[in-house]
Formats: sequence, structure tokens, C-alpha cells
Amino acid sequence: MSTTILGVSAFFHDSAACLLKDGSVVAAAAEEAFTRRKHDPSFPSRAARWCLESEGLDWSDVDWFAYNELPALKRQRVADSESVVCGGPSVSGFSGHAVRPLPKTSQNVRALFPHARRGARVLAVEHHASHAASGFFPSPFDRAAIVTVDGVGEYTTTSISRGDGNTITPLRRQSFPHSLGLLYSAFTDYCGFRVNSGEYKLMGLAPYGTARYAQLIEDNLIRVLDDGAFRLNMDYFAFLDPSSDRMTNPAFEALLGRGRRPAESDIDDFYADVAASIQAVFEKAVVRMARHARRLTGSPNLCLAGGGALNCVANSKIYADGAFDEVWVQPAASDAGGALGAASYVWHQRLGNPRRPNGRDAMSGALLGPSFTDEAIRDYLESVGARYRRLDPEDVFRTVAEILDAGKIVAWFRGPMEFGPRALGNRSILGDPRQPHLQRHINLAVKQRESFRPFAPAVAAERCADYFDFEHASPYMLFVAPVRPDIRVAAGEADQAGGPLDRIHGVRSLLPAVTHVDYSARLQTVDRAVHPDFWRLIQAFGARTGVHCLVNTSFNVRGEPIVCTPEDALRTFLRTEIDYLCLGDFILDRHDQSQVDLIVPAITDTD
Amino acid sequence: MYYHALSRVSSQTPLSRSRMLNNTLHRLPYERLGKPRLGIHQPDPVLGWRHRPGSAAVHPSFEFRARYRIDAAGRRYSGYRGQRASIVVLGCSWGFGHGVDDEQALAGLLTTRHSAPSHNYACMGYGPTNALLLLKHEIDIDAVGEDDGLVLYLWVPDQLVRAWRRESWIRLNAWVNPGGPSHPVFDLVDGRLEHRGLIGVGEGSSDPLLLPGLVERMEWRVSIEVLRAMHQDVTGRGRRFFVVVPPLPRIAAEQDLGEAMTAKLRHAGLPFVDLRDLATDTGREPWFYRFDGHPTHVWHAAVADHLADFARTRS
Repeated sequence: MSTTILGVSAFFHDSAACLLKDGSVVAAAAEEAFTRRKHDPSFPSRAARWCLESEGLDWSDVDWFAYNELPALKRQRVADSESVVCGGPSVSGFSGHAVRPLPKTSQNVRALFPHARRGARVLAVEHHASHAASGFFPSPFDRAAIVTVDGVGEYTTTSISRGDGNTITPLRRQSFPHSLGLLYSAFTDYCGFRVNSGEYKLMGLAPYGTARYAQLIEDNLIRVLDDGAFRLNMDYFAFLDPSSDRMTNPAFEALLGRGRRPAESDIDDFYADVAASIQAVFEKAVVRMARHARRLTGSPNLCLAGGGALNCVANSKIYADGAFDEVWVQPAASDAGGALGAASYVWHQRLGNPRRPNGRDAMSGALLGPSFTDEAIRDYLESVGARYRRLDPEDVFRTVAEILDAGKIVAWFRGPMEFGPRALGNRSILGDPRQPHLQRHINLAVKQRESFRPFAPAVAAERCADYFDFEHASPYMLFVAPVRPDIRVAAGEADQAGGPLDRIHGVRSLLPAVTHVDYSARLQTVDRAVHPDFWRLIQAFGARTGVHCLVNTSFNVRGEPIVCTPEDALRTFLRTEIDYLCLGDFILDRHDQSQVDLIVPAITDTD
Repeated sequence: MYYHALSRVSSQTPLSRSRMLNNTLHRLPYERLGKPRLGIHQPDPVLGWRHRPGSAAVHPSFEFRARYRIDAAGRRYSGYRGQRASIVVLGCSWGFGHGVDDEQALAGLLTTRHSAPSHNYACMGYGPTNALLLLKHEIDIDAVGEDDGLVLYLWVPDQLVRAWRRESWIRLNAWVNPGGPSHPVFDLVDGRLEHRGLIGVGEGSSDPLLLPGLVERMEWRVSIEVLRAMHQDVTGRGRRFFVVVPPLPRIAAEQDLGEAMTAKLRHAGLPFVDLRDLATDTGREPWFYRFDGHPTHVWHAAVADHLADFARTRS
């Protein structure tokens, strides 16, 4: 008799569901994949239904439901926040205090699962405990330090825990309103990007600037202690004020000397410098916190989770600091991963089932989402009148490699959808990293946006050292790595003049499409055993070109989630200038699709 | 026996307008006992099923009591005993004349009232794939159709679910060959029809979990491609082919499907006769049986009148 656990995260952003059968993660997906609403915060009913139906299960088959938050405590925090603004008792955000026991589960969590059978159990798991569980339980480590960083859960904003076998022991936590995540989001908002969505843009902008405001920030906005504990100066922030729709107040703008950048306006060096400054402060706090976690746990292994763990530059600084031998980051680090964390918390921590790490993580390459048979893809293509070629499975990789070598852009849809914000080679747009103009072309003609970061390189794991100075695995695109000096190109004139956007397109290496202005790259290492099809494609491209690396960016357009179904893929293909779409073993040339009977909406998002 | 007894009484009286009595005396037994077996069908390795040549039956129902005769060539008897007809009718139970006597059915009326000798190849439960297979394998159009004659395919919304692999339809129709394949299928491969032979329930399709509407879209595409193939086949043999979209019940879903079909036929460039505006059912002389849903003799008469006019103006 197997035990089935359904974990969900909901009601803030990136709602998701995850199914565990006897402790194994068998399905996980974000609600946005199904509703097509980016960062969808609603209850993940469609994701949950897919998780269950993909395993032939019904709600009545679930033994345990796990929810990634304690609702009563969260409500209390929201009420406390309002009382602070109204002059009531202050919320203490003292640094590095010992953990207090949390209240028990709110009974109304059961109401989230009206179709549960009578005997099913429901457990609400504290938000950062869910993150910690998502970071440690699927990790390849038997023992590890665990650091979680996000905006805020109930009260906790960052935490340090010890993971040992099937147990997580909380050690330190930082409480609201003192939050690294909210601080970073406040600067995201100040620089004109959308909160809970545009943080990666701020991170991408940072290398174009100089951290000239870092000291100003540390002197006035946040005090970072040696152990990574920190305090925000709330005189500059507005996120406690329910009447404000901003995260910062006029004092914040006065301190930095300029107003908030209007969305979509030009970005000048000032905002690049601000981005560099807050990135430097964020990295400093995270690195100090990681060092403290090492001291507290004594473990050479670190697990990271929470939205802050998507900051791949900061993650790499932890490696560079040397406090840990190995760092593993939950690929669905933001709240989506809380669904997986809550479910695995039930299996290991609540039910006491042992873990058996075998040197690999338990995420199956994060390939946990919906997949489609070739027959379903063919039927779908026929049903809308698409024109395609069906390739022999052995020819798919060679054919696509030829197309990429010809400088074309290929949308690659194959196997299960990734769980988490990164497309890792199953829902990806691919290109030739040697093409100097590829970044601009993909950004403008395909993704219909401008971006500060070049695209990520996906490199066969065993060939990583040929191109990058990085000794570790980065299967989830959550670390940056310096491009090897011997393939770098001296900075051109374009790098010396103009604003950040003028410097984007300078050629800095033999792989210009994936090399950032600071010679870094947001690396994905592709392991043959975990991701055999994507690895074979890279190999085919390498055999043809001598470069075992591809440009890999998510298969979506601006403002939309990554494609989930063949229909999403075809629709996105038809509204962009992607040259070819490869759906399983089927390949479509965009010039042959004039007869497709499909409504293709315009791209309307303005962010 | 039960249905026959019921039909002798109910269909001749106002009882047939009572929903409660229909449910009690007809629908519930129908669901429990199964539909009455008429004995005019037999399994067929290509078509799935076909008429049994030379057979006859009385179709008993709460609302009607209809007499069917099948001629030696396996066609519904239209009153025309000659070899070559000016009109060949293809289709399902609507074209066949479910619920009306031989002489009241469309082909019978064309033959007897409008002097347009007709052969009726329509068969209950058929969809466009059966009709295409009939044309390709059974009907020698040179032998049975006059030079420059008309081949009319009567399309109705019920046929949509029969056009491809819908599992629920195959299951419903599995009585034709219990446990075995009974449903002829064409798949589309790169836009071209490929005949897959007969399939059973296990080879049926329903929408994949995250691709809602896939089966219906395939049904539309296969329908159009099959009709295109029929058009090519018939015109290639010197006859004229038209799809007839007949008057449909005043039900939004049926009307929408009729509208969709005419739009798709127009888009595909296939010739069709749109008779949907003929529907002037006042309720006094109903065009459709209230519970059974099939057309009455009034509908057949109206459609025959218009198709006879159409045939004359087109000749």
C-alpha cells in the first residue's frame, strides 16, 4: 500500500502542486503552466488535478495533503504589520534569535481540499520549513547546512537549519520586516521592474554598473552583521504601509538622489550602479549567512532554497567564498518549490521515513511536469492543419544541429516540462552561441523584449571545463561561471561608451551570445544520465561545429509563462520569428504554416 | 415484442407527446433492454456494418411505427427499381429515413413525387468515413448513377463524432461487432487521409489531459478531408457532388454545428446545399420527433421538395 502525498503552495505567487508516491517526486507543476497567467497565485487546482491524473489518481486516493504555510500565523503577521503603521506594538525583527515554537496548523487548511476523503490527513508546514525541506530532502547530501532566503513567509524571511538524514533542525531565523528578499524587491521596484518578477532583470543589470552606492545602502538602509544577520531601517521602506502600493517611500528616493525609474523608460548608468550596489550588498549578506551556517552546522555541504536562491550570482559567490565544498540549490527555489517542500516534509519529517541519497539529487533533472506522446503531438498538429516532417528519432538531433549551425533559431519541445522558473532543455529556445547577433535577435524578434543578460549556455557536463572556469555541476542554471580567459576577446569600443543598453552587444568571447559584460555566464551543465536527449542534441551540435554548447533560453514570450502543451508551443511559435519548432520527433518550418487553424493572440504584456 | 406492442398503441395516440410516459414506457426499457434490433444490418469487414440485402423490418417506437425495406443491392427501397438513378443519396439515419416509411423518406419522395429516380445508400449510424468507403469499394457510380447525375451527401451534426476515433461513439456502437472492431477510420498524416481499417473500443481516442478539444478538431478536419475525397471521387467519374446541410432542430448546439459546417465547406471550396433556413417547424406538424429527435415525414417532404428543385435547376 503506497502513501500518496499532495503538496501545494498558493495565494502569494508561483502557486504549484507536487505529488509524492512513497517519498518519490512523481509529478510537480506550477499553476501558471495551465492557466497561462505568469506567477499565478491562485490555488493550484489545475496543477493538482494534473499531478493526480498523470498518475491515474483521484483526490480520494491522496493520504496526506501538505500546504506550505501556516495561514493563521500569516494573517497575524499581516495584522501586526498594519498595527505598526497605525502606531500599535512594534514587530520585533531582531537578528539571529533562537527559534521559537510555531503555532499549530490552522484548521481551515483542510477546507482547501474539499474533495479529500474522510480519512486523509492535512498538514500545514511553516513557509520556511517548506523551503528548507525543498532544499534538503531532494538534495544529494545526507547532511548539510540549509539556508533559505525569500521575501517573507509567516514571519520568517531568512533561516538557517541543519539537515541530517530525514530530519531538519531549525537553528536561526530572521523575522519580518527585516528581509533580504523584500530589500531586493524594493530596489527592483525602484529601478522600474515588476516586484516578484523583475528581480532577475535587476541582477542582470548589475554587471553594467559600479557598486558606488553599496556603502550608502549599508550605512542607511541595512546593517549587515558578521553572522549575516541584518536589520532594515524601516524609515525608508513602505511595504508595511497597506495604503501604499510602493515598496519604498520618498526618503528612499531622497537618499539615492533620484526618483524611481518609470517602467519602460531608458536605463542609464545611475540605475545600473544602483543595481550593482544592491547586488553587492545582497551577496555580502548571503555569503556571511552561509559562513555562519557552516559554523553552526559544521557541514561542508549547503542547500539553498527560497526566492533569493534564484540569485545565481550570489550563489556563485558562496562557492567562491570557499566555506562549502558543495552547494545544491532547489531548482524551483521560489514559492513553487514550497509545494514539494511541504510534501517531502510530511514524508520524512512527519512520518519519519528515511532518506537514501545516492550521490544524485531526487529531482529527476526537474523534469517533473506534463509530457506528451508523439501520437498526441501528431494528432494535435493534424487537428490544426500544421505542416510538419516526422523525423526518425535518430535523425532529430542531427537535423536540429544542422539547423542551429546554419544560424537558425529552434524552439525545442521534448519530454516532461521543467518544474521551476528555468527551461532546462525540454521547453527551450535554442541557438548557436557563436553568433554575435543572436542575443539581440532572440530578444527582439522572439522574446519581444530587451534584456541585460545574454542567454544561458547549456554545455555538456564533461565539456564544461573547455569553456568555463567552474568545477561544479550546475544542472539547474543556478550558478554563474567565468568564461575561460583563453576564449575571451578584448573589450571593444562598444564596451567603453554609452549606457548599459549600448554595451549589451559587445563581443567578449568566442561564445558571444552567452558571455555577459563581466565575462560571466549563467551556466547549465547537461548530464547525459539525467537529460539524455538534450545531451545528445548538444553532442550532435558539438560533433558538427566543435562547440559542445548551445544557447538555451525559456520557450515563452514576454509576460507569459513557459509553454506547457503542444498548443502553447505552436501558438508561441506562430507569434514570433522562431525559424523552426521541434515537437518531439516532429519538426515544423515556420514558412509552411500558413494554413494553421489556430487563434494566435497578440502579445500585450508591458513589463 | 414489447416495443412492437408499445408502438402499436402509443404512436397512434396523444400519448406520444407525454414526456413522462415516454420515459416510463419507452426510454427506461430502451436503456435497460437495449435498442430494438431491426435485423436489417450485418457486420462488414470494410464498412463496419451494412444493410442486409433483401431484408425488411418494422421499427417500433413510442412515437412512430415505420416500415423499412432493403433491396437486393443493400439500399433502402426508394420505389425505384431501375439500374441508374439521377440522384444517389449518401448519409446516416437522416438520409435513410429513420422513423418514416419507405415512400415517406427523402429518396422515396424524390423518386415518386418528383420523378427523380433515386438510390438511397444512407445507413443508420454511418458517418462520412463509411460513405467514402461505400463510394470507393461498393458503389459503381457508372452503373448506378446517370451520366451527369447528382450524388448528395446528407451531413448532420450527429455525424461529427463518427468522423474519427471518438472512443465514446465507438463504445456506443460496439453492438455491431461485440468485442471486435466495428468502426472504420481514416487518420490524417501530414494532411493526407490514410485508411486504417476497422478499429475497436481499445483504439478509440479521447482528449489528452491537457489538449482539450483535440478529438473534435480532428473530427472536423477528417470530415472535411473525407468530403473532399468524396467530391474528387465523384467528380472524377463525371458526376456532380454536393454536401447537403439540411434543416436542423432549433437547438443552439445543433444550429452552431450547422453554421460551423457550412463555414468550413465554404472555406474548403466544397459545393454544398444549405437548407437550414427551411426549418419552419411550427409544432403542429412537427419536423422532428420530440423524443427520438429524428426528422418526421414533414421534414423529408420539405427537403425532398427543395432538393428536387435544386436538381432541376442544376441539370
